[in-house]
Amino acid sequence: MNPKDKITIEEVKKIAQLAHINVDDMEAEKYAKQIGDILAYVEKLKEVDTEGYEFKSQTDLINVFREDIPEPSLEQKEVVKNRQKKSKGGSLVIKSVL
Amino acid sequence: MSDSYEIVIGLEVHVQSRTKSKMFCSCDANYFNTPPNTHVCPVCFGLPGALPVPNKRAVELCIKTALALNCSINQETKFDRKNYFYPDLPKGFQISQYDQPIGYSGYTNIETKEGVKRIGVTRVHQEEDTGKSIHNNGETLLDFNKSGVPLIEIVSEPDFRSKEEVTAYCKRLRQIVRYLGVSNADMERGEMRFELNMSLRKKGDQELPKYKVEVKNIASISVLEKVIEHELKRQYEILENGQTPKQETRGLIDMTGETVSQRSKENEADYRYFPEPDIPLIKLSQEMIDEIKNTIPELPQEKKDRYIKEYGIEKDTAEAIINDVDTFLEFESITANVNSQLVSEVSKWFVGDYFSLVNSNKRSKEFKSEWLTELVDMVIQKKITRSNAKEILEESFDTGEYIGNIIKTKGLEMVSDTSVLETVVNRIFTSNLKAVEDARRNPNAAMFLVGQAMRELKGQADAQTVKNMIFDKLKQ
Repeated sequence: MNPKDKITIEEVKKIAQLAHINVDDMEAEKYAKQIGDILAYVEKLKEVDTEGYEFKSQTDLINVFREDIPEPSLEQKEVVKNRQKKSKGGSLVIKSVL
Repeated sequence: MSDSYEIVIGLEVHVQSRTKSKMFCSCDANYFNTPPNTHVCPVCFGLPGALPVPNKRAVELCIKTALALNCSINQETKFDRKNYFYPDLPKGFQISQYDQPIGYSGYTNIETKEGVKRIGVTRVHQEEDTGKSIHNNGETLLDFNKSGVPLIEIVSEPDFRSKEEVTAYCKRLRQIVRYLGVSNADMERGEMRFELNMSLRKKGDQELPKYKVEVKNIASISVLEKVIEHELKRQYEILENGQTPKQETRGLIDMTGETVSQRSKENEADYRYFPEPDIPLIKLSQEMIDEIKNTIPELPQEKKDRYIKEYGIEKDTAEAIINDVDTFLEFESITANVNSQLVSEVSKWFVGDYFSLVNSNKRSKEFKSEWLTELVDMVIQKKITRSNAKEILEESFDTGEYIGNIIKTKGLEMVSDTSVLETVVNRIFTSNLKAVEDARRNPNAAMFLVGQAMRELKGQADAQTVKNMIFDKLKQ
């Protein structure tokens, strides 16, 4: 593995923070190595000669659109069903985020 | 503030498109005043298995906006995921556009005291709105009816050097999207919102300052102006103390424009943008782009310039008429097929007496605004006096009575028949012999005769014509 691709513990913690996952120092060390290995593996793809191949997306489809026609949505009681105790007048209630 | 600094501002403006359904699902996009969470579906929430499919009309409106802002169009475009956590975004990402926005490298012109100024438009891209959170008594209420409504983001270059330029640009943008039929841009309804990027630099500096303060979620132009004033003061004081303001996102405390530090500004990398795997690439054909281009109407600046050039309408009057779509449509409909002198004269009445009537009086259902043109024409033709015309207009506006009928009933038609005028003038001359003698010696005294004649005519004659007649007769 190329040393410049090495993932630091700080980087793991930063990614964990962005993903809202708690990671302690030991885990961070473990993940740093694992993520580094994955990246090194992906790095191998660069060895493939892509000369003469066109860029391809996840699918051959292009321009998949919908016409602008509204259709019925879920019913409000469906939406709040799993959170009935924590809804008010149809709004979902969470701890204040202000 | 001392004159040693200048403002550097860039703006991000969000405009809600006027579509019937949402951006990536078929939920009804008209969420205003609807019960909470009644316009939502699995796509809005990003539930497993939900598949977002772009709204064709929304994409067309975004292209239209980009073209109206003189942008180049990325014929190969795509959607990307912008990842961040916030309760109003249950998917954990917003579908937006990253490196291939629909439009890029455009501009629009604004009018400033110093003349016309070009403001660069960095990009115009399509994204989706988030849900609405209401913070109340220590809890937050979430309503997702707004989530997934199409939003067009218009990003400007850091080209603004004053609050006035920012205001002129925002108003111009609002006019443009309304002219295009892209959005109502009603700020009371949150259909147009602003993000400010602002810093200060020493006058004469060419480089951008090393820091940038961002203020998000500004809901109106007037609040935006207040934020700029507050930031100007705050950043100036920090700089004067020899420090550099922090690069950060600041939040509005209230509508006074005061801001408070929220968090250090996230780096773009923190959003971990990546191509939205659920939405295939979009290829826009030149035909499609041209077709959309052909639907772009005359835009506010062009219209204003044409009013001034073609009809000789005054600048401020033209601005007042082009300001909103209903106003210029009404003006153009009542001045269709009339000569430019009349158009120009009607424009003054339209933004003057007519506007004040519209603003203060109740308009009768029977009143037709094209009567204004007839009325102004009669003033030009000297068939009625200017002051009578004002009263006639007001009465007609209130009662719906046709102006011609009011003129007849009240006998307001001016005497323009020369023989009638001559008779009156002759009578005045014979009954005021002394005054006629005086007037022959002293032209100033002639005005007494003019006054007498106008009195006899009950003011229903053109004073200038009567005056000329009397002066001619005095010379005989």
